Amino acid sequence: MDQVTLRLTLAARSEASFRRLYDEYTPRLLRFACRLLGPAGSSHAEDVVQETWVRAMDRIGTFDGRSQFGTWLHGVARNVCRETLRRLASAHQVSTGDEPDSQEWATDHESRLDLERAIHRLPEGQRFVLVLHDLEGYHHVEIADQLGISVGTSKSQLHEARKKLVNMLDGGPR
Amino acid sequence: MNHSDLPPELKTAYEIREDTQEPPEWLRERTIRSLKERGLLGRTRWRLPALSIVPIASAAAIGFLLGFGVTQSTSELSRSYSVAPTVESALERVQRTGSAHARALQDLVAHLDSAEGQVLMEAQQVYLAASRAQRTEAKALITVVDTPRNFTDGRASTSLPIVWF
Repeated sequence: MDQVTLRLTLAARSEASFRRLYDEYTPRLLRFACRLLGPAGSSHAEDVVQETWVRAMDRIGTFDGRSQFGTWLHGVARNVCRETLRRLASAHQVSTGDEPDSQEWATDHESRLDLERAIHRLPEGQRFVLVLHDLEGYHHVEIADQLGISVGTSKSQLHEARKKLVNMLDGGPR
Repeated sequence: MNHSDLPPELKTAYEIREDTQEPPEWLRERTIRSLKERGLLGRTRWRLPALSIVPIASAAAIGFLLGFGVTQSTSELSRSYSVAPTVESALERVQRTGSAHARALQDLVAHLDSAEGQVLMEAQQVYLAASRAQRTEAKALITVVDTPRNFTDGRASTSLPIVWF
């Protein structure tokens, strides 16, 4: 869907048009939410998707068409995920994604982390960059724009994230 | 995906990973219900589309009138500058494609609410084709106007007050 049609569709707020839009963007949106939330929070991914659409439709006036709609939508989703993770963390349901402590790490090391769990153990900034770059296919320039960081920071975050992932998947931090 | 510079361990892990999760049907209906409850979806919010569509329709109408005016005034200028007829014909094509573009846009807006995906898709295709045609003709006109040989007195084309729509 081209940008003009898309904006008209959103402005019209018709159900039929929205269904088409929803079907086009939601599969990727749900995967994105699952990745950012990690295994412990993935049961909230559907709620994140719903909240993302509600916010997107409510704030569609802020979509200026400079970026792709999907990129903008992911930006909304990312904020919703962030809030969800903080809410869950404050309720002690999942970790915030800060550096894993050694006690927890040892337990996880024994059980060998799978990729999803390993990703979720990355610090939030590194996790977001890794998910956006390696799993969602965004380029560093787009990631920098989305996250409000420099391209250099995006690259170094990715480098660090990959290094940690490899260590985790290999069995422990080096 | 950008996996060319991936460490081999991660490459394998990414490949093993499967993205088969499809959004459940109930999520779509729940989301739509939630949007409706908040007044963000459905016909009750036609205040916003009206606000959005009116400027577009107005812009199309103004564009058409501008195009018409430009054609008229430029025709006179063409005569005064003894411009080659190709400029006039190029202007006519811009005007014609501009009008088609405006009509396609109106059709597209009219079909936005259509439940038939095919109808909307066709309207989108017509609109995109009209956009392309209009851009092509505008570029062609610029080329014609920018060609010095089209001016018998050697004046630069930038002196022509041509407005695009």
